[in-house]
Amino acid sequence: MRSSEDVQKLIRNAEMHSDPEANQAVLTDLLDQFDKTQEQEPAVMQPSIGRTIMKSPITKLAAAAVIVIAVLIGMNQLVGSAGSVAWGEVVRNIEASPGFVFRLRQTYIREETGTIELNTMVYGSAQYGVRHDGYNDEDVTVQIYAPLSDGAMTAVDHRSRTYSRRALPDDARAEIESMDPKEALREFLSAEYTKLGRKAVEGVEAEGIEIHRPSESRANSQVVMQLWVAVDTGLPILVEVDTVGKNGMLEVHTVQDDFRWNVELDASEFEPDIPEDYTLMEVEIDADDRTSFKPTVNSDSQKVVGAKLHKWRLEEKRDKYYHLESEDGQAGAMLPESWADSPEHAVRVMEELDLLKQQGNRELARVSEIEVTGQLDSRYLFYKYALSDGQVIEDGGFDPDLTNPRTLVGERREELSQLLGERRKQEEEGQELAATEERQVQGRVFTFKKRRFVLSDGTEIVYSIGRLKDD
Amino acid sequence: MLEGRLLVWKFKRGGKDAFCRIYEKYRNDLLRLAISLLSESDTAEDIVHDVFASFIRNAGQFRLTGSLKGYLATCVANRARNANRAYCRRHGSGPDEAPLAASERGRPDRWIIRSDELRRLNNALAKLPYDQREAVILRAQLGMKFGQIAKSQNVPIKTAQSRYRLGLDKLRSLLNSEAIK
Repeated sequence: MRSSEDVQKLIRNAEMHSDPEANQAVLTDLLDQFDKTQEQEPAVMQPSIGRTIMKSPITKLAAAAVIVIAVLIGMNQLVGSAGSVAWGEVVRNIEASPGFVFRLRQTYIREETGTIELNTMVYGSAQYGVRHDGYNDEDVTVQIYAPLSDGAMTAVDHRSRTYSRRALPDDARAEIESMDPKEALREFLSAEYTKLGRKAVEGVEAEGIEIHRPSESRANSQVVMQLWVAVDTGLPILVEVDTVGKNGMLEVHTVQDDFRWNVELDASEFEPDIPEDYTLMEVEIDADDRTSFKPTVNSDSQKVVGAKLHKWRLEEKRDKYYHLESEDGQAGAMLPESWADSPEHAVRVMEELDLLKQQGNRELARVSEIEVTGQLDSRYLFYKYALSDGQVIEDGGFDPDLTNPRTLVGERREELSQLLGERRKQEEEGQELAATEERQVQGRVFTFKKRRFVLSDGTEIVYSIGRLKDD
Repeated sequence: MLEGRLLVWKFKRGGKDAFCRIYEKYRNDLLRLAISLLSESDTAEDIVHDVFASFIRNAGQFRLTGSLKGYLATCVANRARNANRAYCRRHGSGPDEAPLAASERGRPDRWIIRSDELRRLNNALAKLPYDQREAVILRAQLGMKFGQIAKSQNVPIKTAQSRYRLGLDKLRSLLNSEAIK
């Protein structure tokens, strides 16, 4: 007679093999699919330069800062070693280039947050400064301007329609100046290095060197950098930087490629281009932790400096919404028809709402959050606004303090909406399928209703909606 | 877990070797999980294939927050559950009632090769209600905690525990009665 323990052992240990030929056949098929995804990747990665995205989803200024910090980490690690300068011709070639463009890709591997990837295009000019454009797929989400003439850094977040501007302290300013890869490469070439010989990089014959050194930004970490220079032009074609932790695990991998040297860039490329309806955010930099560089939003004392109030006009009324547009054509808005009795009233509501938002005169009413495989992916904040006509309306936006980029988009987001609709229907029919928890948001206690879903691709989602506990 | 992270990282950078390593490392565990959950080999094999294919397609969006094995196993379990539901909708019963021997005869290029012991176990598992079978497999084969099983099945922990206990008792009874025969 088998006991329960015997049955458990049987389940654990019962043998199963797989047919070697079938294994190979399946693997071959999967590798074919793998190759196809690799072929498609360049198209996906192709950025649409100069495109300004006016969509609503948020990317954090903090994320923008991460881009900067990542560059700084990579660049700072190149600084310092004295040694014989070799490849002098390469340095001269670099110095002779008036401008440059390259692609920067960074992968962070962290236990607590999982893998984070950042894609950036970097534009540099010896005369004008440096600009970074952060991408999410094809969309420019964040731009960072560091013009040499200014001494300040401006970060523009197109998703939250906000921007920040900060004169940097001296040390940070020095680091920003080191965003110029020419400086970094000069330092790179002054370090002791190992020759890697020749190989083809993107079809171009290149010669490489490698240097190892302790990380200056991460304790107990080692940095391994490879620089590959095109033999025919004598200019860098690929830079790879790996930061390896004390346990031998890769922590950060940085790739700089797709270099274009000797590019003439215009001064206007480095002047911050901020749409008029963007809101200026305050920014703090913690000297001990540059990655904490993020906007501070305090609803009680929010300073809105330089923000502009729009004059609104009705464009049309369609699908139960008033469609409004600012008179300068720079901003648009949709108001539910229930908020106003007439087009004129809708304009008044919009202008008052605009003002209340900019004053921070509002009360957080609801919070919705989406977790993707255990990681907070987005948070949407709903605020109550008390209008002079006696109405209290709710309007919201993505949390500007959340550093996580939104990954649940497109078909997967639609699938979640569909599942959510089905779940709500089940709940209306009396099935209690949601768990609850209490948590503070902006100093107030909210009761969150958490619903779990699994998308068809296996992604686990938790959708939570929090309401004020006392409501 | 750390090797899983490194493999994922290399894989996402376009590392074919890393994918091969992931495939070799987890393939059999996933096949065993799928065949235990569904009994029906064709569907089980398709599901494991599809999980790996989906893993490749979604590499750009993929973020590993736990173990890679746990992630892949959850994908298999989710797809198996969906397959079971789809089958129920079509036939008004579970895939466990499908003629197993016939389906295996129909495909000479069999991927999964079961030992007699596993075959007997699968036949017994197939007689459990799907929710109980899943709870037993996730717990006994994958070592998942009841909290994780409850989360996966979207039920309270006590329900998951109850499903496991009932399923295990029934399975023991089935295996013992088979031994007496």
